[in-house]
Amino acid sequence: MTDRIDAVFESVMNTRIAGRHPEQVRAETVAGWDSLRHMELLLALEKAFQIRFSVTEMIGMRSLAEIHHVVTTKTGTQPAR
Amino acid sequence: MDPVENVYAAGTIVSLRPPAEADIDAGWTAWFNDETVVRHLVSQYWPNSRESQRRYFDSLHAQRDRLVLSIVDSTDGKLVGTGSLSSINFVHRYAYIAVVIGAREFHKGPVAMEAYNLFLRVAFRRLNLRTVISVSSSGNKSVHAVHRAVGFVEYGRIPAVYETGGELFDSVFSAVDATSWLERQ
Repeated sequence: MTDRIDAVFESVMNTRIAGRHPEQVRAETVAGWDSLRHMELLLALEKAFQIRFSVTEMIGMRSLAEIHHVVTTKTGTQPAR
Repeated sequence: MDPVENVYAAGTIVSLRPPAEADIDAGWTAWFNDETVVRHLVSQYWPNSRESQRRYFDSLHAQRDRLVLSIVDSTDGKLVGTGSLSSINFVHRYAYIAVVIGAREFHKGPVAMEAYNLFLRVAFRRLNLRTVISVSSSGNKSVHAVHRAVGFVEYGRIPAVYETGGELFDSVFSAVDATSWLERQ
């Protein structure tokens, strides 16, 4: 599941994650992750996974790790801990 | 101690507080001369100065139809932007919204979205307004993306009103009501 999320992320952000930890992939560290690109990313994720984010969730997703968490929780595919 | 003094609406990334005199030099004067910041603002084409910002700041205290708040970093209180609810009408319960993120390093991720959402929270939850209206340039794609996220609906546009950088842009009228906003939270 996270591979599919990463593929959407890389496509929208036009960047490569390239082995970086999802917590390190943040709005502050990815060039071009501005407010417009943020919305494009969330719309692409909603379409790809047939989900709908609340505004609170949209504001909370500031790193790839947070995106993984929200998307896998909403799709019921969160890995067992 | 709370990193944001005198906080009026607390958020996770940014918060809102009443404007302070120090904001004039901390951002206002420079931002409204910055071409990147004012590019799609519809009324910020004249050179800005400390004196004009001072007059603006002094005028705020007497106004009850306009609420201006400073947008600050929730972690350290750094000034990152400003916004307002203006032409507030307490009979028909509407206002016009404007939000500017002036600090370029905060043109990132969901910062503008949270700032907008905080202003809407103030409008609908504290002032008990019913409708918030926005008039913006069609060239401001970032603001329209944020609008859609927080529940704004476009109701119309006047074509080719604004000319920016040699391009013509429409004037876009959109609005969000309290119920629609709440459903998106």
